[in-house]
Amino acid sequence: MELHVHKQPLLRAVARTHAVADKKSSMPILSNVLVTASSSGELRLCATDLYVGTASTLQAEVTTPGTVAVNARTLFDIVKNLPEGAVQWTLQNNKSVQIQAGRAKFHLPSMPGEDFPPLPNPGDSKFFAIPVERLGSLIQQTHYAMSSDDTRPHLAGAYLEGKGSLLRMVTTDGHRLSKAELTLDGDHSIAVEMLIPAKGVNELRRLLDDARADAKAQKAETPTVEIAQAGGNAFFRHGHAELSVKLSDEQFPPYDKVIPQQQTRQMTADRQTLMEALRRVSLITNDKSHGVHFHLKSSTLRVESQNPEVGDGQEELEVQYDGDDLTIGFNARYMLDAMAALTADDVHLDLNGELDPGVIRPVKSSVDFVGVIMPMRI
Amino acid sequence: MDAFYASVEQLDDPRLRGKPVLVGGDSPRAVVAAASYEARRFGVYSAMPMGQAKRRCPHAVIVPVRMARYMEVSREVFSVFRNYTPLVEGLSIDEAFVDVTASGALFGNGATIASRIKLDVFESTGLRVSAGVSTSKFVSKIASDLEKPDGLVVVPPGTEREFLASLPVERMWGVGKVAAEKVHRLGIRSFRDLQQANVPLLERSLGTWGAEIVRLAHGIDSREVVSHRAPKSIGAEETFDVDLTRVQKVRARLLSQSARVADRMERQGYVGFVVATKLKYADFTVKTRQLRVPTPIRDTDSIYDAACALLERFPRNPLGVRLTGVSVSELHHHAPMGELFVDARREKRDRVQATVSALRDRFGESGVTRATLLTRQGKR
Repeated sequence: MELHVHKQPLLRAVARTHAVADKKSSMPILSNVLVTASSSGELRLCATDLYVGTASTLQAEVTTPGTVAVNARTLFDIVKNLPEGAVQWTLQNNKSVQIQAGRAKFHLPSMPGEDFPPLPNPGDSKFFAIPVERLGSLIQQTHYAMSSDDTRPHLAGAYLEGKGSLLRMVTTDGHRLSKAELTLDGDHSIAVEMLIPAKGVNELRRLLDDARADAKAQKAETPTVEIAQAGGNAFFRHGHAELSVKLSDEQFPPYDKVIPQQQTRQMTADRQTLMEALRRVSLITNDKSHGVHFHLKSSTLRVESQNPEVGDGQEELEVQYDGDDLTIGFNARYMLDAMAALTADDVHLDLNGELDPGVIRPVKSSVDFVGVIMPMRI
Repeated sequence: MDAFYASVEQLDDPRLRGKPVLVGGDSPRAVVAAASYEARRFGVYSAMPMGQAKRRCPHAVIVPVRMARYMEVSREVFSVFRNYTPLVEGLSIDEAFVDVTASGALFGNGATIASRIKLDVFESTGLRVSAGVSTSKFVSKIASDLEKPDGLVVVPPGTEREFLASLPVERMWGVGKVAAEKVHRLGIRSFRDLQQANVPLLERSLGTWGAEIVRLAHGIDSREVVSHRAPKSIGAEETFDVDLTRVQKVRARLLSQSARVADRMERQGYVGFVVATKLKYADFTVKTRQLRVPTPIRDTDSIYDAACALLERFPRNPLGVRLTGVSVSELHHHAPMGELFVDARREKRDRVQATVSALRDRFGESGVTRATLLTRQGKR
């Protein structure tokens, strides 16, 4: 195996892959990046932790094709710090990889490329193209509500549904739920339904970030990401980057049933003003519950928190409200998460009784968003 | 308290009085939980392996641990302290800091109150207690240990430094074998050496803690007596007579420990966010793994599920397991937040836990237990 490649494209590929490599796995091969050079002049880097797999392809001058696995962390550190320009990569005696750039020369121990587990293959399944911005906004408006509880895998991910031109993402941790949906411009025949585990969602966000950066560099207008579902895996690709995610086979809960349809009270407030008030008042709640009281009266909302060990705080703000008086407790953090993910100037908070969930909706938005938050008894 | 568990045993069974008594199990791996003063004369001390203790003191009477009884006596003793001030900070089942600064007008100075407490404890329980009186927690604790049993050591204000100077450095809190060796290498053997120590040099060898122990050696300790200290974690662990080699057995012990932790959480009204599993292997290496759950838990099954999930994260180790432990931390008082999806299973679990804990409170730990644990215990 012998090839020449430029440092910058190599660094980008290594940077994309090394983070996925599993440095703590009981399978040593998984802490490696698989490097494969083909006679067609393509260099492919892969890493996986058996749940998430990523691959990045770049052009190289391949003298002798071959495949080898080297430690992800070491490779990244070295390539990052190599002098600019051409990098020579040689596998010596099928054992040690020599990396040479300028006057710097490194030898890294390696493992046979054949030992590396193969990444899932989409086969000939159909890929659907989705604008990066649109998928990105769905994730941005919902990802914070994913559960991070390993013992509740059915909640520890994002549920993505695509039907024709409709795209929907739903997340919940059992106390709050965020649903965002949108209709794509033009004709689409998307057909996917998947529960993407949290780690996969995070890697997908990175892929979308990369795609945005690429588009900016190339001054492309609307970059797209391609998506497919096959054999229990989801596949995402953009340009020369690929991501595969082993989907959760858990049943996502029936989210439609917990989104209240008819609420008796509606408050409308300026999003920024309400968020600032919540941030200030919640300074007093030092425990994990972040509990604050909402006192609603005609045209006013008083947000209040009390903590016997710290003190108390309150703030009154003008809102649109003409319902009956109501006092209800909420986790301020949950309220803030939901509102921070929105861009609308104003938000509605729909309420029923003090033990019924509150529903956050943007007043005007290109994405149809619903945030359901259970109240607290405080 | 002096040789607390052993003293309670001698109190409850007059035949044991005047005899060397060892409290603890009698299995190959048991350790001495407490040794009466009669036994200590033979070089037996608590935490010593029971086998070694029996060789040193073959005629000792070995009695099993009766924790429920010790707790009962402990509560009685603590209630005596509270007759003099509400500022009582329990350090363990048989040790407490009592801040009597504000009680002077009513009961007299520290020395007077200490002797009255000693008398009251003896009258209400029949047990002897040792006390140390000074202006700080650190000096009082050291003073209380100096003249056991039945000691009373008063360190008048202003004499703390002088009082501490002659003590060997091993008396310092937290200075065990390893740290003692480190400070010995710097030529420090007594508190006087510590008082005169080169702080930067000490810090290089012990870290920031080096400066801390020099301050303490001068008798400078501004920590307050805190009467309501919330527990940081609630845990259960046990050492087995025979190393466990099968993962099913490890799981069974984790279940039993999860049940004990859940009982205590239920009783004290806590929920927790972090579950930790601890394993000690046959070669005495200890490993722990922990995870944080986003919704606080308190029932046996949730704790056990997390403890088992953690088991997967331990590196493969061919050695047997001699100890397992489960603990829950990041504790909070149960503050209910509504559930979006009425999780019938979880709700049921919480109700079952409350009922089971109530039954165990009433009939003891074996009053209600799991079938899996019953067969395990039968086999042991």
